Amino acid sequence: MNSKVILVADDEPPILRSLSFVLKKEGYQVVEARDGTQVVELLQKGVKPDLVFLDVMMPKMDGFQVCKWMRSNPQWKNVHIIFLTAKGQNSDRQKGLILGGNEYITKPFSPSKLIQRVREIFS
Amino acid sequence: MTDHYKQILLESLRKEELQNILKKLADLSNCDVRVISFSGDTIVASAAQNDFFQNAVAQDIFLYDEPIATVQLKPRNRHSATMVKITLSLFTSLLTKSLNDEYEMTALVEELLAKYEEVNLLFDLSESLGAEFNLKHVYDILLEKVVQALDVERVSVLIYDEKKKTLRLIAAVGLETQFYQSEVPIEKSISGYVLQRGEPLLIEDLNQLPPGLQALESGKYKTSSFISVPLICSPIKVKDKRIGVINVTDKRNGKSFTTGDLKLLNSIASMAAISIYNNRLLEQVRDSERVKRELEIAESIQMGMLPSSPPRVKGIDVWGKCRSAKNVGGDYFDFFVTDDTHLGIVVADVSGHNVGAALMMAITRSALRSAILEQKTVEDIFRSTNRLLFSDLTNAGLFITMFLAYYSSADHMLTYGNAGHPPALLLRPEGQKLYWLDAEGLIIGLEKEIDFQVERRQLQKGDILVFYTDGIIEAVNTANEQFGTKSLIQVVKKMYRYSAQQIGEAILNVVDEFVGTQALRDDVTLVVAKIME
Repeated sequence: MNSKVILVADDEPPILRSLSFVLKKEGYQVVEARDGTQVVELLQKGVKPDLVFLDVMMPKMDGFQVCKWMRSNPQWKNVHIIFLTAKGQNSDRQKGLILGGNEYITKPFSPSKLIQRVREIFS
Repeated sequence: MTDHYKQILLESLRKEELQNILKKLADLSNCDVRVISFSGDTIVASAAQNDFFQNAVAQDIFLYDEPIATVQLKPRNRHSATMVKITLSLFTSLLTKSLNDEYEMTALVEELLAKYEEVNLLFDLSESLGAEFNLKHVYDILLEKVVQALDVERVSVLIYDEKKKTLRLIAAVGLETQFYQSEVPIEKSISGYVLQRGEPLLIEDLNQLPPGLQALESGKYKTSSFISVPLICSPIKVKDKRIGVINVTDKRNGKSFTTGDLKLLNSIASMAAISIYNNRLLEQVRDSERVKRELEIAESIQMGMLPSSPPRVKGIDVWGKCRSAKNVGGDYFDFFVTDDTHLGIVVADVSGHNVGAALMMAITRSALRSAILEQKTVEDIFRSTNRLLFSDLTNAGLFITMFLAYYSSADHMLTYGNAGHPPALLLRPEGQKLYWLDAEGLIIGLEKEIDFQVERRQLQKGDILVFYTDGIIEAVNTANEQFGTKSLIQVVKKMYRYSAQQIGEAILNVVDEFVGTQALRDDVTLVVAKIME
């Protein structure tokens, strides 16, 4: 079992579930969130992720807001954040990177490439 | 099912909702329950202390006939054995149901992930292929993506040669180089069978092929599973263009191919087929563009061989023009000035109006010029030109008609000979008299030695001479009628007061009007001369 904890936030159940499954299958510990406020709650409750996947478009609190909130808190200033964006949303990507996201992955993601990337981040 | 996979399924039992239900049911039945994995981990439990479950009754949870965990049950106070048994079986049923649902959901998720992978692959492929205008690179991209998508060690792409009716191995991965460019017959080969049927084929065991078929490299594959998929381009207007076949074998994990692999390869193949088809069309366009450019160069060289402006010779006004039906042609005219009182005029037509005719025209020009430099007589010029060109013309299957005239302004004498060319027209305005100037002589290139008859004609002031190629009199209009000599004579008669250039341009204008929207079928050459004094 891998000790790395990955927090995954997406309001679309198929994306959330599939992303979560891919990561679990690789042995990572996965914490799921269905919207932005849940991410904040989980972090406040003491979940300490090593990597965070944030969907850009989420109800209540979107990925950008979550990212901004995390970066303003010293504890989450340096945790690796990957945005999940729809194909072709170039403006989203730029905005996400300006707000402090480390990179983005387009949906629907390629499972093999995603895993390869996560392995690289933790290597 | 791997232990890790079982672990992921069991983790789903830790869900808060399920834990709450278990606790309530425990209170209701007055029995505590817990689920432990075979490695001894407690997954969920209604009671906190582990030692509480000593001497508990137990039952395994089965998922598709495979045990994956144990349910333990311990009554909080005295229960009848039957009651305990029923309660345990109820808990086990509930947990089994929950794990079953999770298992099915996970299978769906795996299916979804496979689709994501496919969508991404096809998206990547269409992006790479869409920007690719080099056929070799298309094959490289195809090989790379197939290796990546199907995780195989061997891929081969065979392209169908419609003329030879064979398949040629054009690109491959993991194949011995000796097989590159090798040809595979349509009959008996798996690839040929797939191409002809036009449907993908998944072979479970290469050692048990359908009768009469054989693999390209039988006995050299690591695994015996094999997929062969036709490359078929089916755009709306091109019905089923069969381009070739793509074969894969030797999956890296050593397993057999699945129908999922087959579908994926088929999607890749149909996308690649369109790209191959388009790139082939593009190559054809590029080839014809190249030929077009070369013809344009040839045209400008050929045009440079024609006199750029008419020579000035005392007592004669002369003008000439040549227009090719295509880029290059076989028509030719030239002027030779040996001194200020002598002018030579030649109009010739090499059969055909292609590059061969144009090359022959260039050779003719050199032959003529060298003969004229040697100051030969008209007859000698014809004889030497014929002798010189005979073998080249025979080899090329071409011949030349030529009219050659020499005018001496000192004595107004025109000396001329004709090698099968249309006769020249002489209009004497005084009395509007017309003469056809002709002389006996065989077409150049038919026989090695030919005698040419030379004629002489005394000219006078105002006489107009018209030399032309058959392109003028045989020009055809939309009603399929020929321009003819009558129309030519009419123009000359009407225009006799004007200069040689004005008469010549008038003739060409009338021919253009006559032809209308019809394209010129033959090259057109015209030389007009007017005796001025």
